[in-house]
Amino acid sequence: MTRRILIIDDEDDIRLVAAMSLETVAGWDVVLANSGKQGIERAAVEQPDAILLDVMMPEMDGPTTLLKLKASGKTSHIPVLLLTAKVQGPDQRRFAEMGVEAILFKPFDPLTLARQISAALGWKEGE
Amino acid sequence: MQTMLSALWERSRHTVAERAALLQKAGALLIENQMDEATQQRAVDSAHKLAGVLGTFGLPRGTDLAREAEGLFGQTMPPGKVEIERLQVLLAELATLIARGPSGQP
Repeated sequence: MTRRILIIDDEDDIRLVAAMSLETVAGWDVVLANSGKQGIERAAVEQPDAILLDVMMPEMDGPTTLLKLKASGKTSHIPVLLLTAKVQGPDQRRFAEMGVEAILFKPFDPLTLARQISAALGWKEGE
Repeated sequence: MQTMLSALWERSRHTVAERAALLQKAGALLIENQMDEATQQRAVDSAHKLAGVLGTFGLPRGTDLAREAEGLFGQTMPPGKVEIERLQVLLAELATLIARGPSGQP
């Protein structure tokens, strides 16, 4: 089954590597957004199967974006995975309470990113 | 996959090098005890972003060094002599790693 993933990250290089990884390794469709604001708009329109969301972004950071996604009837059902270079214990608990499905860590391995997402969401594909 | 990653590295290396250069400049300000809060925050952010991306491109040592730099730049200023010396060493190694790239060639 072809999944559609929305990647929200302000860093061009991370967006491109993650997109290449998910398209090439898993054959998924990838939608890109370079800010929280654009990500919220694209999530509502594209209705992805999951969202990969960066934590540290200018203007609207990942947690704020997550709250807005979960507060909208158009996007609240979409599972969100956070992608971050550093998360400390209290943050992990806070993110879990905000409704995040899983936290994935940078740097990620492009060969196994799809597998990590599938495992976190209980999907069979991407392996 | 490796070919595509190499192509993406070539596309990204300029940005990566700019972030490393920003860390070098911040390190120099630190040595001269002229670090301001805005530059300190930019250094922390740049180190954080480098930590997130270098390992993905096959430079796990770069991620380790950038994480250490993020911690050193993020601590209360001014740092001690030992921390400054460590920062100089790790920033030099980081710059060399980035210049060589994942292939090990400049």
